[in-house]
Amino acid sequence: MCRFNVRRRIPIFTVALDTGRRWAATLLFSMHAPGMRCHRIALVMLVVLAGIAGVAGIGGCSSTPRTSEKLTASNYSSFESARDAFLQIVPGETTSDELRALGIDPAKEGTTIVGSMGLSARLVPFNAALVNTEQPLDLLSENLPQCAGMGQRCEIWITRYARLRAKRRNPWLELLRFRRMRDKTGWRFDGAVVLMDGIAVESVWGGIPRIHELNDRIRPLGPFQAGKRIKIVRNRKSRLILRDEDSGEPF
Amino acid sequence: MRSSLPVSILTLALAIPLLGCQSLLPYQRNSVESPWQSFDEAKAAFEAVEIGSTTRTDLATMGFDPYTSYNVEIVTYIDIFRQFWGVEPDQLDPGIRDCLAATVRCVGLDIQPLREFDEEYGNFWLNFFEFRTQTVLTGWQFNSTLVLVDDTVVYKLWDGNPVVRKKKEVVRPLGPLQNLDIDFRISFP
Repeated sequence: MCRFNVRRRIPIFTVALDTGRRWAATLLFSMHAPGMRCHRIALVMLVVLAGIAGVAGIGGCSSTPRTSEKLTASNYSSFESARDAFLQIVPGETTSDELRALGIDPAKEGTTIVGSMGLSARLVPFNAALVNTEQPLDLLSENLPQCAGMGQRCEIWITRYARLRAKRRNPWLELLRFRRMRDKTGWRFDGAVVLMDGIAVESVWGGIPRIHELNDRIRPLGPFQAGKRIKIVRNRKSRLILRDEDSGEPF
Repeated sequence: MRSSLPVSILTLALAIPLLGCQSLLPYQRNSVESPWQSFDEAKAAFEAVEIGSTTRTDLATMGFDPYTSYNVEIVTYIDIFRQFWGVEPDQLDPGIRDCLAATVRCVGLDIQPLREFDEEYGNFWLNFFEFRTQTVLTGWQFNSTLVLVDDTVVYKLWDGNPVVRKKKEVVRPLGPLQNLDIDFRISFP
């Protein structure tokens, strides 16, 4: 026997904030329904508001939504401290153990080891094949081409340290989808150390000491206006949190 | 008293067209902060930089200091080498040749300020019920690179978009029904 099973894809815990438009439409249509009383409409609205408040409570918002979010981390507290560590490297003298003592340590977050094979891949742009020409590596300092031919005896420690923080100007306006104002600030440090037989022979560094980006989205009608949902999901620690489906960011 | 809520909803619905619904449409602003408020300001500051004479101290007063201005990226000579991949060494700008010869004494400064204003426009009700969403993106973007050997500028380059204006229109003939996320499945016992 054939049976029809109507199943909604939306998880049961989906917070239907964007579906405010749907309940607005429901209310408008239901006013024309015979026997529909005004107190029932008010009841529906109260239930929905209570639902939002309840969901906020379940979603770990027992106090207030988080006002800022740490996006990345590093073992240096500022761009300048990472730069100062790099400035202490003496080419031809500093050993890998001394680098570790300075905090440039592949065992820690933000540092990766690239072998001589990976060096060529990093020096050649990804679209080099389109240019159909070769750039002589001897344009670079002698260390890099030499490293590329040394096999296992040469390695490059590539670092990317960053501290970025996205600050919410008004978490409650964001939760109710009226205004999402993000203030992203921080810094990013990129560096590379070429080591031959465990001795640093060259170090380069760069990055952005002061990052500041603004994103301001305004929906004058808040939850009634078009936009994606806010969902309840489980985070890595299996705790229930609210997540904005527009940005994929948690509240 | 009982009918006050529907009446107020209806009043609101009728009042919205009279109030000028454009102001009720969503909008969004994005910016990558810089000392300059317009494309022309950024370009004027960049054009004041002189190859061979402008120093790092001069750059700081012009707003190109990575430690005081926002979003100024320090790049290494290896990044500069990658950017000029494919150019024959004898065809390289003398400044770039100097930079590559100076290796770790050469640094680049990349500055890419951006201002974007993404605004929805058109008929409010068609937008509200998602029948037709029209957006216009306006703003400007300025990309510039300065190359320094030791303390002196040896090369500069800029490009960008003084007037960004991009329009987008999404039409959904079924409006809100088009987004119904319902999965009809037939299961057999």
